[in-house]
Amino acid sequence: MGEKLLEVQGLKTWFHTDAGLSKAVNDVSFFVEKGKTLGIVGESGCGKSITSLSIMGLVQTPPGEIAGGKILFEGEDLLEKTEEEMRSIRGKKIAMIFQEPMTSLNPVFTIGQQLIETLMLHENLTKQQAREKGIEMLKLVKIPLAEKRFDEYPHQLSGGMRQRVMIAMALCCSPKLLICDEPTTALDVTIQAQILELINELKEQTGTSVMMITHDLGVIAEVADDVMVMYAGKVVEHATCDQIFEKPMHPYTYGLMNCIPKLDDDDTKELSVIEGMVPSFDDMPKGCAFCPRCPEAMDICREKMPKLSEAEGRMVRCFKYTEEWEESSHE
Amino acid sequence: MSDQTNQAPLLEVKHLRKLFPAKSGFLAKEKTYIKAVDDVSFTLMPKETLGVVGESGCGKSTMGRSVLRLIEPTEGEILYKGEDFRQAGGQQLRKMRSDMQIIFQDPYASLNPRMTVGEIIAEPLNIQKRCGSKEEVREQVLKVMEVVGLNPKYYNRYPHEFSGGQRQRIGIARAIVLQPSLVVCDEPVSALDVSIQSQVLNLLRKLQESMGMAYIFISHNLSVIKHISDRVMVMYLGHVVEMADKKELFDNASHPYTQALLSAIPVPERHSRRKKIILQGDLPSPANPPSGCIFHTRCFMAQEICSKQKPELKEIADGHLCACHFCGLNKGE
Repeated sequence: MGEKLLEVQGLKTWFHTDAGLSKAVNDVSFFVEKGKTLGIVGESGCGKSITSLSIMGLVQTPPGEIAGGKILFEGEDLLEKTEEEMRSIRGKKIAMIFQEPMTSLNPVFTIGQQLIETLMLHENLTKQQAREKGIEMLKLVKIPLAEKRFDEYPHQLSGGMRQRVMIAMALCCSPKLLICDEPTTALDVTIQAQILELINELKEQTGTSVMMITHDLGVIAEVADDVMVMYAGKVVEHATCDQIFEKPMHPYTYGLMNCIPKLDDDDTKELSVIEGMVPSFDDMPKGCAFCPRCPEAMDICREKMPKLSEAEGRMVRCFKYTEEWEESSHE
Repeated sequence: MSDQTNQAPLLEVKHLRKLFPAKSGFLAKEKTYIKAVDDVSFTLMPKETLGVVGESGCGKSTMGRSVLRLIEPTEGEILYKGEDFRQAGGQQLRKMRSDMQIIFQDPYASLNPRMTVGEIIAEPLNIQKRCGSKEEVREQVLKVMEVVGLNPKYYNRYPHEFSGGQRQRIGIARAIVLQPSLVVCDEPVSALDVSIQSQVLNLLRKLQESMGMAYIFISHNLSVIKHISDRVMVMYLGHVVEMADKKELFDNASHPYTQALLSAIPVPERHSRRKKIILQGDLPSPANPPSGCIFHTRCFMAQEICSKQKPELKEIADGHLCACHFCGLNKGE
């Protein structure tokens, strides 16, 4: 096992809303190794984006609150840092790429101005040096005519180009950890293929660790080394990418894989479905959060929440792989 | 599918074009146009599903809406059940439209937030004056709600109280309440989570079987298209580049763009053996399309002829149309 770059222990990010307390991220633990890619999969509302915002210290408080846990980055707890200390880490050591390349660039500044902002802040470069470095970064992410693009505004670029600029921006201080929150969801498939290839290439070149957040298992299969599946604010399965695709163990992971139409499927058949929908936070079932939708649920699942425990060399949160399951089925 | 040969087509679209005027600048004398849909022809049989696939900006949505005249096409002919739909007006148009419906992409934006579910689904019935009494309307609406899997007790609720998947069911109920023969589905599952997506796809298919509707199913997702379609049309920059029966298209994709699209989909399996074709560059602007073959700027097998001469959409196998100078030459690569 490689060295742990980031370790999250028992993270709880809660939101105080008018409708009550929403436990968006509830006791999540994981780690990212140096030079590896961790994929986080789940549907909307499962807490995957909030996990990444918590790491970046970007959760708005109030209504948000980090109610517990530790985020250890290179051994230091980010939650104990002051806002000023965080500012020197954010962008320099940990960088993030957001989903919407259309809205995450400032429309009134040129690409160049936004790109050198980070460089001048963190690297103490002069404007001229920053410009050179900025153009170099644009070339690195394969933007044609980088010198010209440097002085253009975001609206002059296409979606794929904008996402490249975002990547250039994120990588310009050579961060140790790159968090990608659905980096290709807003893009067309042919452009998505370009961007994924670019992220993979840059990862090899720079040795950056990547956290890839997505709802698309196809994207995960292409880039991730390890996969964490989240459901309703909790980790339900955590395994290597090979393990997950070879044999998904949690019924939710299994359902998720089976309900996507695939090109080599027999398309005369009905698609298999996961019945029902993700429970809302004020209507969380007692016991396992997935049990109302789970085809294999038994009495025990409705009574208490299973622990994330080891089974067949990975972590799974399901009674199926515990002794209690046997006992429950004999009753 | 089998008994369609001697049937009359439900819809015939011939040389459909839609140009949007675009200003080229201050004091510009010359008028420029964006060719959103350029010379698209196809026929649709009753109960058939035509999948339309392409990237954003390829004109697939404009095409779908032009067919219903929600956007008035610039040129071309639309024959619906043999009648000229483009010439229809007033009462006749309204009557013909009642037989064709649309399901929109964004279930959050396509439902009026001030109307209850019951009112939304009843609206087409009221406009078309299909039912005599209010009681009858209510009965119809409740029946349709049950068909699409909405609990009848939601009759008086408002759209914001529902999740995306449920809202899309409301949109579907509204589309099928008049029992149309043609439904244009414009990216109906793109805004939904994967686990909900499969529920909606299964529902659409079930409805087609029970009600015998024809679909024009627009999507950017080839896997979804493959699952639901009988025939598939691939569009690029307003043009049809390839069209064939589903099986033929997915087994023998002949246009380089179709091949690239197919290879670009991330497959949810490890160590996929498929060779990836990664296209260079972005989609060119439709205001200023490339000369010759529209795809040549990104094509991995472009030759000199491609930038000069526009390839014809020609039949390369039974029912398999492809617009490429090198159609059929690059098979098996």
